[in-house]
Amino acid sequence: MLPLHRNSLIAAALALPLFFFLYATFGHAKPFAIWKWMDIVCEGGTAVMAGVWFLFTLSSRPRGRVTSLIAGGLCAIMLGSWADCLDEFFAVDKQEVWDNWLEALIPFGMLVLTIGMYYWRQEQFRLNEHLQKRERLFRDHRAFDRITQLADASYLRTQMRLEQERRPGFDCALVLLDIDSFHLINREHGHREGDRVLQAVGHMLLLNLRNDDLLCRYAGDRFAVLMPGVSREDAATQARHLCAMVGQMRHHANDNREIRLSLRHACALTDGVPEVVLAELSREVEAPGRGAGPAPRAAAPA
Amino acid sequence: MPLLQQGDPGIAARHQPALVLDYARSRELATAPLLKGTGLDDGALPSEESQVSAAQYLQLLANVARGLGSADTSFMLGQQMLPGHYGAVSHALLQAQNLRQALAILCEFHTLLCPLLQPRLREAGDMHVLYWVDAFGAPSQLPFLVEMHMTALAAMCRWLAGETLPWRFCFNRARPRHVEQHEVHLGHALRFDCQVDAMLIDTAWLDRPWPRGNATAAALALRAAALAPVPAASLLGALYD
Repeated sequence: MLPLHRNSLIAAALALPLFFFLYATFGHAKPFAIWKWMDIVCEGGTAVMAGVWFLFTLSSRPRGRVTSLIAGGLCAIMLGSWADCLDEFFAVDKQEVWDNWLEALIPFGMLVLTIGMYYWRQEQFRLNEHLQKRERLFRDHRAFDRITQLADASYLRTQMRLEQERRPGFDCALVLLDIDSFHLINREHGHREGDRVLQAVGHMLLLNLRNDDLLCRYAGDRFAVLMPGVSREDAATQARHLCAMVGQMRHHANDNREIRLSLRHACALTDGVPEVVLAELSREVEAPGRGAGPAPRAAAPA
Repeated sequence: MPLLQQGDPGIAARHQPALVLDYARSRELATAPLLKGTGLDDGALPSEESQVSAAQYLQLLANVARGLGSADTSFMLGQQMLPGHYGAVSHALLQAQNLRQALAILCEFHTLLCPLLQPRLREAGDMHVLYWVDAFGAPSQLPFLVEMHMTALAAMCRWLAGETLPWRFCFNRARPRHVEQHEVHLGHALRFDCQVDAMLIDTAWLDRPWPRGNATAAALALRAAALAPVPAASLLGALYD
């Protein structure tokens, strides 16, 4: 993202030496003996930190009003603190006011930053809507999988625990969904196509969930849906609907061959230790003859 | 043939390392940090003669695992490792008539098929046990390698046998946090805190015919594989014997 903000970066980088020359030219150097090290460290440190935040902001955001306000505010705080710090090395005549104006960049920057944070908050509400059904009670960006943009099993377990703590005794259903013969898709079409199938199924499931539901990628081709406030029977109905919707999909591989998809499902209530509930459900979804998919062949040796 | 140590080149770059690189690229990992310390260059496909050492291949795996930072990396790499595209021996595996033949091929040509861990098959009563033993001394990466190799064999068998074989898995490690990956990729017969890394199966499964099996094609492929050059075994493996 940094190249997007080239002009801002150049301006900030030019302002720092410019301030130095201003002080060096119009002020006179203070002798080493009267340097106040505490002030130098505090003011210089503030400038360095604000500079780091400025870079973090620019490197992680595209251009726009919120970015301009937050980055502008941080840049002003950085420059104001830098001026404040230079003050420790150069004495400026009391009659002069320009140095006070430079130091006033700090409160000005804070004001701009606050306005930026206000708009950032609104932006965040909008982004939360995008993450609906993908996250619930807490946020952990590390849990999100690169392919499906869904959270992983450990995030799911934490959510189950939080849900139990928040509303003990309240029904909360969990559905596991597994793509039939997914390994054959990987073998016959390659794992890139397998990834596309996971993405497509993930989207299809998201489209058919309630706003309160949480969809996670448990592992591999197994998805999990947490349904707070839903009874086991309703969850089973929901799960059948999800399987039917995925069964209706027409997924086309890159070479335009159609790949038929079907899901198996298993559901339970989440009353119990999340690890145990999940392991039992996972075993159940693997059991032969489940769901709408073709039943695997007999599992006993001849 | 002299025995190989970690630093000796012996793994064809176009075999396992190429598959690993391809996987990393499909996950959009930057190539430069990926190739650091691996002796590989940025070309699309490594050349015919280019070889890497076990240490370099291990480094590549470590780079990919670190770059992706995902618990499923070892399992996904395992999914595509066997039968692989390693010449006649891969064809032989593909045409194997049953599990017994597939395991025999795997154990005989392990330096080609799975250079980092050596599979050792033992009969124990009415069970067969396949041990996975570190071939080059990479203790820190052993859990990753074991996940990868067990998934490779289990996934290949599921594909070629047309059904999931009832393997039981023993791991020489504590129960990991990402056990859901083991459940989905390997199944539920998992045991942790064992002394060895091993896969167990009832002997009855060894001779069940596989639907894709073809005795003639397998014999021809095996004859070709026997004529082709095979990398030397590892020093560590030889010491174990």
